[in-house]
Amino acid sequence: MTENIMTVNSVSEEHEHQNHSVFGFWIYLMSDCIIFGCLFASYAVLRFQFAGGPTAKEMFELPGVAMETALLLVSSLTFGFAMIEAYKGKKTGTVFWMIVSAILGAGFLFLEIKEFIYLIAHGASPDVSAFWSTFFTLVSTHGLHVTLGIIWMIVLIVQILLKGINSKMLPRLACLSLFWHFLDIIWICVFSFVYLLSMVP
Amino acid sequence: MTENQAVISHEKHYQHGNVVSYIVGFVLSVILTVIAFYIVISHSLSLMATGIALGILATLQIIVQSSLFLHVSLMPSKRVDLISFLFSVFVALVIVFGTLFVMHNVGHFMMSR
Repeated sequence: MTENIMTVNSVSEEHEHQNHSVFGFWIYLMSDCIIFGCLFASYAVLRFQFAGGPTAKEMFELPGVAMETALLLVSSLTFGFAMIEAYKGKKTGTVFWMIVSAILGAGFLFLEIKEFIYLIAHGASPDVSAFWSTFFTLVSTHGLHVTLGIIWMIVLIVQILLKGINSKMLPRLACLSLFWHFLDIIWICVFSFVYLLSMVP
Repeated sequence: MTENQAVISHEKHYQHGNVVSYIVGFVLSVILTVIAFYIVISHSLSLMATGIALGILATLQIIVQSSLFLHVSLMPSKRVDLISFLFSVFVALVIVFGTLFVMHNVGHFMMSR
């Protein structure tokens, strides 16, 4: 009897602990939100400082941005499906949707790097003007987060394949899902205020 | 408590979505994104109006995604998440608009623009 209560207690304590780890990660995301706030602030102040170099309107290509947006949004959806499968305890489904999300994320990164190469090749490199410095800082910080998200996803896929989905794996997946959806929310601000707003005459 | 029970109790504890809520969130996000791109490509609004429209569309999409994907909600168990979320959004907005305001005044009074 006592032993039984002990086990239940330790399980609920463990549970509480895992819940805290997800909340702790949430607080990290909130501080990340403020980092992006600072980057958006510097971008907003320097948005017209082209120093005679190429302007945003000349250089941005909206079809590429639309494609990046689509890839990131679909990968957010597929990661949601991965979480649904994970909560059901289904290993194959979770791994399948995680691989799909990682591939879509990699597609986003590929397009972003392609865009950066295009910009730099056409004279819009970070050292040209204050505008391009802040642009590259803001967008590549987001890209770095996506890169880390993909690495994290690969690590968890390997862990699930080796150990299966257990109560220790779920909080890790919950943290990654928060991170991945959060990056999509940051991207909403990037495509609205960086790309679309610069294209207005 | 077996592994399976632990998984099920987790399911009860963490508020998470089902297929329908994710698809609704996705479709709403697609609609809001398409409207935003359409406004800019069609050049149908002035600079000021486009800025305001993009701001509203982005805000709506952030609300859609944070409630349906991040599961921020008014539920008592999620209260702390919601408050910390609103607080950091508030801080981010103060940083952005405060910086714009201060730098605008600097430009204005230093006559350097």
